[in-house]
Amino acid sequence: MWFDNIVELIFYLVALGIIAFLAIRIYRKQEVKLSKWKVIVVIIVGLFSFSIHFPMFKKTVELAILPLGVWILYFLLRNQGNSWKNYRPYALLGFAGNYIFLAAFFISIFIYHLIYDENELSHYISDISEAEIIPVHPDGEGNPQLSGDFMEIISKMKQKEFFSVVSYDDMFMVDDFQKENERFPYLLANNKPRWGSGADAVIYIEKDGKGILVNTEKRSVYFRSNEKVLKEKDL
Amino acid sequence: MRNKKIILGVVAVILVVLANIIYLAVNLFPDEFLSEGEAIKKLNQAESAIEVKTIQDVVFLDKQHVFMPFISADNEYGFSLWEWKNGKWRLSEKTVNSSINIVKLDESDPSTYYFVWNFPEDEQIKKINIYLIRNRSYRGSDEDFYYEPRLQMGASFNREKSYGVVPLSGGMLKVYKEMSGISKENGDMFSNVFSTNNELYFSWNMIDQKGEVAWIEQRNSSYGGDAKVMSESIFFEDQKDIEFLEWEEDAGKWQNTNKK
Repeated sequence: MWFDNIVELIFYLVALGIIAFLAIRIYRKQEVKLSKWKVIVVIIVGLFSFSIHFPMFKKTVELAILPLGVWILYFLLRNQGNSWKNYRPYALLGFAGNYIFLAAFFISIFIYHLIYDENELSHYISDISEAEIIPVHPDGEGNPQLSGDFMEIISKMKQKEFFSVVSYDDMFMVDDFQKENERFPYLLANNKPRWGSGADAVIYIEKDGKGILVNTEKRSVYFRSNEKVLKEKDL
Repeated sequence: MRNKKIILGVVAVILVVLANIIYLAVNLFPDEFLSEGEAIKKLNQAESAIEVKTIQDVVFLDKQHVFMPFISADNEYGFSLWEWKNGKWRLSEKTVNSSINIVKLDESDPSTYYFVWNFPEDEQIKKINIYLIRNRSYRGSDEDFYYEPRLQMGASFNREKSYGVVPLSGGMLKVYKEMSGISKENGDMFSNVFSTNNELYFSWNMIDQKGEVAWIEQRNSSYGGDAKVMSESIFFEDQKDIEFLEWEEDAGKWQNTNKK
C-alpha cells in the first residue's frame, strides 16, 4: 500500500488536484493549443528528479534536488522549433509538483496527529468483535478470554515505562535454553485498529492479564492497568 | 469499411473471452488422476537416481495438487508432488529426504500450507512434532524500544504410517496469519501491512519410546519437474525438552506438553 493512512491518501489527492488546477490555468493562458495528452506526459516526466531521502517524523521524506525530468525534456525538445518554449511551463510544473506533494505530506502528518492519538491504546484496539486470545507460549496457562468490559478497561490504561515493570534480566539474561518464561504469552488476534489510522499492530497480553504490549512496525508501546483484561473461559 | 472494423473488433473480444473461459475451465476441472502404472512410468522417466517401485497412496491436497508417497527399488521412502496444469497432470517434484517438508500451494494464503513427510518404517518412533517458533528479541534506543516475545507452539501427531500430510491449521495457522499481516485481508485499504515473519520459523522432530528425540539417517535426493509447486524442508529441532503448546483439535483447546 502506498499510503499509511487515510489522511495521507486524502492529501495526496488534494496535491494532485492542485497540480491539475495549475496545469489547466497555464493551458488557458497559452495562445498555442497543445495536445492535452502530451501536456500530461510532460508534467509526469517533469516530476522525475534526483532526490535525497531522509527520515523525519518516523517516516521517509523525499526532497527533490535536481530536475532530471526537466533536463531530459529540454534536450529532447530544444531543436524542435518552439516546442521547448511551449512545454517548459508544464515541465517546471511537474518538478514543482514534487514540492506540492512534500507540503501535502507535512500537512497530512500534522492533521493525522490532530485526529489520532498514538499514545492511546484505543488507537490500536478499536474493534474486538472478531478478536480472540491465543496462547502463543507454554507460559500462557489455560484458555483465557477477553473480559466483558475489555474496551472500558483499555480506555483507562496508561502508557508505562517498559522497564519499570519488566526487569532487564528478563530481556538479557535469557540464554537459548531457558525458554520456560515469557512475560507476554498471549496474542490478541484479529483486532482492528481505529478506522483509517493504518495503525496495524501485533498485540500481546501479559501473563498477569494487566499489561498490553503493542508492537507496531517500528516500535513497541506498553500499557498497564490495575484490572485484569482477561478472564478464564466459562465452561 | 467501418462496419467491418467493428465486426472484427467484436469477434476479437469474443475470442479472447472464450479463450479465457476455456483456459479457466481446463485448469479448474482436472481429469481423473493417473493410474498407478502411468504414474510410476512418469516418475521413472524423470532424471534421478530414484527408481520408484511402489506407490503408497494418492492424497489430493486440493483439486489441482496431489501428494504421492512412494517406496523405491532400493527400499527408500520418498514422495512426489503433482500439479494439474494446462490439461495435464505434471510431476512437480520427486524427493527422497529425511526431513519434514512444507508445501505452499499459494504462498500468500497460509491455509494452503501442508507439512509432508515419508520416513522409513520404524517401530521405535511414536510421535512427530511440528513447531512454530520465534525467538525473543529486544532492541532499544533513547526514545523507542522494541520487544518481541518468544513464541512457541506446536502440534503433535502419532505415527501410524511411514508418511504423513498435515495442513497448517488451528492456532498455529491463526498466529502465522496474524504475524504476517495476511489476516488483514478484510481490513481497510489503509492497512499498513507489515510482516514480522522474518524470524518466525517452522521446525520438527520425532520422539521415540523413551521420550527422546530420535535421529534418522540423512538421505537426500531430489528432482524438480515442470510445475511450480515445490516443497522446502524445515528445520530440525534437536532439543527434546522444548515445551510447546499442543492444539487438541477434538477438544478444541491448548494443552501444555512436557511440562516439567
